[in-house]
Amino acid sequence: MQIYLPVAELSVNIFLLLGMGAAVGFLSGLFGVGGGFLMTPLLIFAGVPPAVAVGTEANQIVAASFSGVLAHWKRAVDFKMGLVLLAGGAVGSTVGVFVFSFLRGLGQIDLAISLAYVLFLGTVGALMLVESVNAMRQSAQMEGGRRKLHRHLWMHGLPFRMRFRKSRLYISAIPVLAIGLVVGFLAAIMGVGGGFIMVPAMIYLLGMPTNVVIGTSLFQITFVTALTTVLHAVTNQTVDVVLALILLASAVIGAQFGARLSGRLRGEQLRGLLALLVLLVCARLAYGLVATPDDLFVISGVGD
Amino acid sequence: MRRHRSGPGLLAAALLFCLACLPARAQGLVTSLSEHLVSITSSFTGDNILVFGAVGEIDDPRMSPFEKYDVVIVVRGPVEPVTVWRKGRVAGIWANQKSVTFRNVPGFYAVATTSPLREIARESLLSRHQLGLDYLDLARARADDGEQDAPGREARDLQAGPFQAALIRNRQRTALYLEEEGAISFLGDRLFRWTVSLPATVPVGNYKVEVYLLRGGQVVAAQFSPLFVYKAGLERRIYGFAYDWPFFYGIAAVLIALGAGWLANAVFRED
Repeated sequence: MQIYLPVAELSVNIFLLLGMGAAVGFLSGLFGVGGGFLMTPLLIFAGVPPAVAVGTEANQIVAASFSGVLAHWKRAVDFKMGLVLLAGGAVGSTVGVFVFSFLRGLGQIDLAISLAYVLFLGTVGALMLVESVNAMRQSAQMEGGRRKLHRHLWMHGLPFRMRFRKSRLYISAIPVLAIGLVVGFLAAIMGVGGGFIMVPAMIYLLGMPTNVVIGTSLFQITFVTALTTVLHAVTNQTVDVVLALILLASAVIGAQFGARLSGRLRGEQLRGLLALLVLLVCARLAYGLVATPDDLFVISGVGD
Repeated sequence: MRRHRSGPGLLAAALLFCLACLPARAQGLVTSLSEHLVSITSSFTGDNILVFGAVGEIDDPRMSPFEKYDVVIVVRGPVEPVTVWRKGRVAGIWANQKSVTFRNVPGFYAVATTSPLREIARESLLSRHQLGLDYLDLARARADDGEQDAPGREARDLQAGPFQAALIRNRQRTALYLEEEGAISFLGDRLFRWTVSLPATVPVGNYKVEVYLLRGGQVVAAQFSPLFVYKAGLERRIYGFAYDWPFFYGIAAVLIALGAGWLANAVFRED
């Protein structure tokens, strides 16, 4: 059964969309990631214009991350940290949407999206794979020594120090803002929540305790993707509500099954599998950039 | 993005116009369409429209009554500017490099004939009426290699460029441009019919269906009818909302997503 997407101006098989939503939702539940970095490329492979895929995916992530925030609401959100991240994210997202609009005018947005994906997925995937392999090796000889609360890095000593009570940190606001900014920018260009960058950054760069990291990052992602959605709707008209609704409805259900299965797998195995998946998507996009296209000419409406 | 939309006012005008011009009749040619309004709804997968007509008496002493008639039917969609990019390798990666913008590109173009176009009429006539994909005047507006405006007649030799060929090839692949020589069938001596299929991706807007009756290489009669393709129901509202009120559309999209997120959390809560 075909369904006509009013903003993408495409007729797509609804079962294909539902299947994609459920599959990505399943994986996001399994690995505890947002899934934007999988969904946006899949939409592009399915023929949705990249610009629409990015704008719509931002919209879908609002729903996914908001339901996650609600689940973590009471225990594990550092609101102060979240707000500082959000301030950086708002600036990054605004800049990102305008860069997006500019590149679109130049006719280079599709390339920019693909390049950004290859770069970030390649880096993050490789790092995760190395980390999880090391963890699997070490898990045999693991012994519990006492760790310091967190290591103090040079960037924590920068000016504008703030106390983040829930994270038990007293550090400069500058690295926090910078992380927010980068993530906001990526959300606008790539249509991702940015959790896959933010979560490691919060743990390793800021030294936040793991239990508040997820809730706080979801808090920031909800607001940044909401802002990104509105900005894309205003400047590029690339948010398709019908597409977003179909994807989020199926993703929510898929995520429940994924979350149930994730309890049965070990952490480092999960991360290793996720790393392979990330690298697979990266390789597919890289192939698209390098392989000789069937038709050397590309058609776009003016302004597309 | 295409921005053509038709409001209810336009539809009413369209209906009036259709009533006024039915049956279309001119110099011995009567034509009509199976439908004048095509509405795009959520289940739209394309549409077939029957173009039919009859050839009447033509009093032209110069022509022998035994000479055969030829019919050419053209369906043109709304025009819009289109940019064609050519990819080139930059450091091993395929990137868009050169572009040419065409100003008058019909979003849909279909032509059907009773016999091959070049046997029906001379090139000058074909390009005057823009009959056939080879004779489309897309009016190249600007190229990024420094050449400026080449409108009107001058555009003729530029059309041969690979950019225009690529554009037409692309549109043919997506069934937005059709050329069906010999596809019009005659029923008896005077009745003819042809079915044009609009794919699911047809642009919305005002279309024109042109029927030409030719004899001995000359147009002896022509008949034009309007055809309106528009988004209907919810699709039209959503599209209109997204373009007319983008800020509120964005806010609404976010609110819907927040509502869905809340719902998901409420349904699947683990307690």
